Order: sequence, then C-alpha cells, then structure tokens
Amino acid sequence: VFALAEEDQQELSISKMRELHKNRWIAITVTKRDKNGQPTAGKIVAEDVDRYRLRQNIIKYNDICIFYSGDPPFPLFL
Amino acid sequence: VRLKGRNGSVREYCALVDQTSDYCVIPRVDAYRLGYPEASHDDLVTTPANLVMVSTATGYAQGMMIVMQLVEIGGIKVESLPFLGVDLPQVMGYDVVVGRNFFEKTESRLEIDFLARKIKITKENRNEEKDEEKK
Repeated sequence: VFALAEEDQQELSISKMRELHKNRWIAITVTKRDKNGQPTAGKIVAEDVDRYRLRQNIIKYNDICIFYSGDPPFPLFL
Repeated sequence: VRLKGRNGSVREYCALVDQTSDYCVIPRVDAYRLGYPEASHDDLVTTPANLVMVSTATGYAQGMMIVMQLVEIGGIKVESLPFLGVDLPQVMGYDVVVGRNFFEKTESRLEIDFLARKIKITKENRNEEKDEEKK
C-alpha cells in the first residue's frame, strides 16, 4: 500500500506500470494520451491490492485514472 | 471510459463492455466522489426514490440509479446518461461496466475482434440515413 507525494511521482508508461505493480489497483494522473484520447502514460498517485483502500488515498484529486494492472480472470465472475 | 460527475470531478476507468447489461454500472464509492451522495445510501429504514432492484447473472441485487453528467469513450461523448451504483466484485478487475444504454443513446456501432483483443466503437450518423429515406 502506498500513496506518493507529488514531488516523488515519476512519469511512466501504462505498460511499465503494469509490469512494476502487477495485480494491483493503480491510480494515476494522466500525462500522455494517444490519438483516440486513451491514456498512455502518467504518474502513479497511489496503488493498493484493495479497491476501496485505494480510494482513501486519492480523495484530493479531481481528475484521476484508475485501473487494475492484472489480467482479468476467466471466466469472469460477474 | 471518462466520467464527469455532478460536482465537476473527473474519473477515468478501464471499463468492461457488456452487451447483456441494460445499464452502465459504477461502484457506489466512486459515484459518491463524483457528486452523487445518494448512491451510497445505506439506510435500511427509508427507501429512496432512486433505489432499484436489478437481476444479474448471479442473482438479485440492489442498486442506486444516478444520472452521470458526461460520459466519454474516445471521441464519443454522451451527456446525462443513467448509471447504476452497484459494487462489482473486485476479482473482476474492472470498476465500470459500459452497458447497452450507452450504445443506444450514442447510436454507435460496436465491433469486437476476439483474436486481436480489440474493441472498436464507431458512431453512426443515423440522421443522414433518415434524410435519405425521406428523399
């Protein structure tokens, strides 16, 4: 579990984030987008194994992107 | 998918496109942060007007209906789109489900390439077709 201060946040590509923090929920501020408007790079604000604990660390951010860095299970549990 | 809430906050998610889902779904905690406190209603005594029962593949559940101010996927934007505030299992790996009401409202076409694991959403201009029909 961690939340980074703004001065410690490093810009990383989404694929690099998936490599470094596997199977975790990641919250990022987006710094680069592709031509379709989808995020390609950003700065990690917080990461956690728990979706709800992550939310506690990103309350102050008004524009944030959240995703899960692992592969979705198959078959999907809906 | 990029969501803008009633309080002006913006949140972006990796979403699951589900053609069998009638409505789009968002976790209740995120609905709260986007300016919809009514989505986190846990009072067992009173029944709010936006409380709905939903049937899912795994049984029945309760959800709170909210109207998202702005929904964006790529260049496609939809204003005032109904969302269900329901907590999906974390094991899914997705926060948000994009349901049929998004595609109905945008009149967009969904193309799924299973081999390439790609989804293409294109917006069709049905008005042009209607104009041609009129002619």
